[in-house]
Amino acid sequence: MGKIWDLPTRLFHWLLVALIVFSWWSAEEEHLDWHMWSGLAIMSLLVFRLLWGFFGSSTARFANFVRGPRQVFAYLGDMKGWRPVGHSPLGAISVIAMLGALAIQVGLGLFSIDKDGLYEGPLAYLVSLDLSERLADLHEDWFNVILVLIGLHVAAIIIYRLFLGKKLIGPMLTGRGAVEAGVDPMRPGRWWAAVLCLVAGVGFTRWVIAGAPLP
Amino acid sequence: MRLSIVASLSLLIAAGAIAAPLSKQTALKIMHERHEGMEAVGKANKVLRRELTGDKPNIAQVRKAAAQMSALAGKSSKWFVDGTGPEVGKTGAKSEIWKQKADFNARLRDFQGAAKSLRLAAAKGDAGAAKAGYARLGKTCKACHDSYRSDMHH
Repeated sequence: MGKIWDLPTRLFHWLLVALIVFSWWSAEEEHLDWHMWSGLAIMSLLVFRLLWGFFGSSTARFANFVRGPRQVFAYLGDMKGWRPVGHSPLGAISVIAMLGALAIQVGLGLFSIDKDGLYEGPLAYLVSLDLSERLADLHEDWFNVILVLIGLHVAAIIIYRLFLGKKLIGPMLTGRGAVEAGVDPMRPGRWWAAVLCLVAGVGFTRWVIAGAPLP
Repeated sequence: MRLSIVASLSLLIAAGAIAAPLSKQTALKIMHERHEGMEAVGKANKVLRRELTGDKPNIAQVRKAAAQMSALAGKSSKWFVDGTGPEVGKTGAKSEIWKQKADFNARLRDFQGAAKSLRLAAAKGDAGAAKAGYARLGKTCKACHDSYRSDMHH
């Protein structure tokens, strides 16, 4: 057993799960004020994760897991031969797709107006009413893309468990999992770097809430 | 004697006419009007929101939207006739409307009152009063929707 995921990455993951569920529920139940706060919290997390991908632990850094198509295909050709800890080249695509799709969803929400004209994203005032309405429709439709990605993510976890014998959920909960001999475990990041990344995420979100004023 | 029979019969018929349920067709027509009307309320509200939460409201736009809103609010008294609830067809109107008719009507009157004062403020060209009026209007929308509207996907 060795370290695979750091605490900030795990907290990010599970808070994101909770907030996506809450965002969906609050939109369905038309608690749009809660929905907006939830979306803004997701935005803070996304900014945090982006920065943690540069300044975080070894398995959190994009440079250590995002790979080109050649390595993705090489991985697909020999999935059982993969030894390193952290995201596989295929998993990396899933991570990038999920973060990208969520960033688009948050972005659409910022410019949306609800059908009653009672709630508006903090940046909606920057575009025409007509465009805000269309972006709100797109915001609703785009959730289906996120659902598909979530579905693929969960399916992949099941497939890895059944066919490759890899347990992925445990390490995301505890941070620890099977690390083969000779393989480097996770090298942790600095706790204060995580704090700074979070402060930057919250700060950016506050600036957006204020309507993204330029100096 | 005969007269009283005729009188009571006609009373019975009259009472029957009042209590007679709406034909399904009429009910659906009212529900459709209500739906279209509420959509128009939403549209007018979006314009009001845009203008009255910004720095420089376009008072001509506000005046037009406030007049539409006030006219729609007036019509809304006829949108919640008995027998136009979810038991009849697809609607965002919850059955609680008819179970708590007095409370619902009071809230509808709040909405109508707020729409009217906003129209008057806009007509005067008083941006400050219009902003305050818009805030009050929005509260009346939410107050009613929280208790009496269900989510309706369409």
